[in-house]
Amino acid sequence: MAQRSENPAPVRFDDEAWEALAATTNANLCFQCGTCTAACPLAENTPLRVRQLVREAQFGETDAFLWKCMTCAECNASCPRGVDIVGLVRTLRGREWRTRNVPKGLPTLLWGMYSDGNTFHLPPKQRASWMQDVKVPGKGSTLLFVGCAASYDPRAQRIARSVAALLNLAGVEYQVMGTEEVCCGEAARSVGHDGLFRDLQQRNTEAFRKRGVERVIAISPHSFDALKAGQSANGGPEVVHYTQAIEQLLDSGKLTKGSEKGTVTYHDPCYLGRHNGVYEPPRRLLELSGLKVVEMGNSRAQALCCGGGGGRMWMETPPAERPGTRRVQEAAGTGAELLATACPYCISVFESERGSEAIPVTDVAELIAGRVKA
Amino acid sequence: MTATDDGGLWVYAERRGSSFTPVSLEILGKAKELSRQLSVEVTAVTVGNDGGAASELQRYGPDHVLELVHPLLAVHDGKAYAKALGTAIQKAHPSTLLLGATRNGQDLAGRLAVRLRTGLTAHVTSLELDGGRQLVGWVPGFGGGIEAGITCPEKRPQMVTVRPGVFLAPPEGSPTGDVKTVKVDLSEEDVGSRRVSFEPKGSSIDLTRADVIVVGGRGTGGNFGRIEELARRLGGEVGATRVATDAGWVDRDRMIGQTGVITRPKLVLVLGVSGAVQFTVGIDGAGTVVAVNRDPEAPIFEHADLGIVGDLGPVVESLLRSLGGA
Repeated sequence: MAQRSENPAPVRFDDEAWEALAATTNANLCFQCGTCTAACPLAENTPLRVRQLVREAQFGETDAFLWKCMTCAECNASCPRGVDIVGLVRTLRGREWRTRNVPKGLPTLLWGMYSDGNTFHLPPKQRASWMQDVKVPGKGSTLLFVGCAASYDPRAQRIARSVAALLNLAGVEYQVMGTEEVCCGEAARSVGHDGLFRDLQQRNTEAFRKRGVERVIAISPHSFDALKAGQSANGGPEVVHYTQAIEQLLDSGKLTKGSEKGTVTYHDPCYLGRHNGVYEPPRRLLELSGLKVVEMGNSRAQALCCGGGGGRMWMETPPAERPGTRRVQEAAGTGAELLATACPYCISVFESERGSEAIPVTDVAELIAGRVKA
Repeated sequence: MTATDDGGLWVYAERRGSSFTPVSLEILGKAKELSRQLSVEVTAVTVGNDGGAASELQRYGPDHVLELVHPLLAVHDGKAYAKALGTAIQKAHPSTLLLGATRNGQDLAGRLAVRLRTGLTAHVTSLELDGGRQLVGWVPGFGGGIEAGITCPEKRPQMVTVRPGVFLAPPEGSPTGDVKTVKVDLSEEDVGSRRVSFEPKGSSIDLTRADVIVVGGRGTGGNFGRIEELARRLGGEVGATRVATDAGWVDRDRMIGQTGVITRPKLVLVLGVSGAVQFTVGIDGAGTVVAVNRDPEAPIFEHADLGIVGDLGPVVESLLRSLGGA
């Protein structure tokens, strides 16, 4: 693990950098109490110290461990001054792009998003391969936004097929964009490339308008968060996460409870929970299947990040620094039979970093599809 | 120099130990092909502290071998090599110069282009003529999403660095061409660096250049002994998934995928790997993919040209048996 220098060079206050930062962030509000560092899940086993990062930013400096941040927003949630530290991290990363001082692999990620419209550098014509034999009504003003992971990742494709099956079961009219869908841009925003983020938002906004979309159901919490931000800025359609959409079907009596027995623990994805306050719908859906939900010690606003946000999916994390491994251990420790979550990133991180833990990892949609009735 | 200069087609043959980098021979083969269309002669040019390696180059069909020698040129030094080669180019006026896109080749090419005030097309993956005497170097842009054809219409030599492994080295033949050894005029001030000591990186390997890779994943349970044997018999390298790397079964420089190495082997055997996209993006450029997995539903089969459903142990043993030999 890299260490901070014992005797760092003296720092001179950079007025210009500070003014630029003050114009785009609210880092000036920080009074250096350090609550953010205490809340940060990386403080325990990485050299990142959020308080120090903010202080350095105030002096016009960039923290050496800026790119370790997963934008999980535990710091935002705990800051007594309401500093948007996640926003600050994105802004500081944006500054690094100007000097190309960015981690290996990220330029490739952005070129892929730019040219292929996805985060995997895979051909756009394969984007609809998740559908297989799924029948989509293909009409109405509701759009299912699948996102890159659930479009291309065979593991996450199962989530997309499950969500589609649930919507079909409840008789919802909706359309999908298939090969015309492009990336939501969240990964670009997370790694600080606001220009590409806005470009992709614009492409999606135009597609929504052309298709007469009034409501977007996003599968990934990352798409949900990014599209929500983009659409409210552009006066576009309402954006919801699939757990919210299916919860409404439950409330309107279009889906009824299953009779599954057993226990499940639920991991709150950062971009669904802390970033957007969606805590109850996934839990209600799990109960809909008949399973009993057992909570982990760190849940809801205190949930521990899987480690895949903030562009970390495209940067390698040394095993000792991975929160994902700790999180699976915490889940297994509840004694629950299953670990459910509602984010393709969380799932792929948990599958990869579970170590010797045998608890099956599943998405809420996968778990309830086939277990609930119309 | 202007576009009318034509002193033939030069190929920089980069020395490595007592031989040459593989890409040097690959571009020599390509140069031969282009020279027939252009009706010019091919000169393979080397830089070093002595001559003597020319006889190997002669087996790849050049019309001339030019050795630029000086005791100060024992080790690659961008500044000194660029002076040596640049001076020779200014004398002979070749219309074209091909270099391999190795670390040293790229270093040299950039310096030469500035020194000769000409253009440089870097890292091309294919080369052709535009119908006339102009070379078109194709370069993948935007991470492979598009290809750009780049020409150098006004200046000569037209310079290109070629990515290793995109052309086939020609078969060795009987020696051709004459050998000319030229002592370069050089002084200490022309050399930018000094070799203090040389320590090879040891086990470090480059999977991006392997033609055959045998990949093991979680399903191997860490039993890499037989996988190494299989890789050895196939003349290939061992690769691994992130899970196998994390478990310490294999070194991290063999990790394939989104946060590891992106490979393009001709053949890849994927053993006990589920097929998460974060892994498969690392083998998308492979020629033939053979997957072995116990689970017939494993997503890896969607990426495989040939799939074997079964327990790894027996499948690997039967593969080893059918390959024969010790």
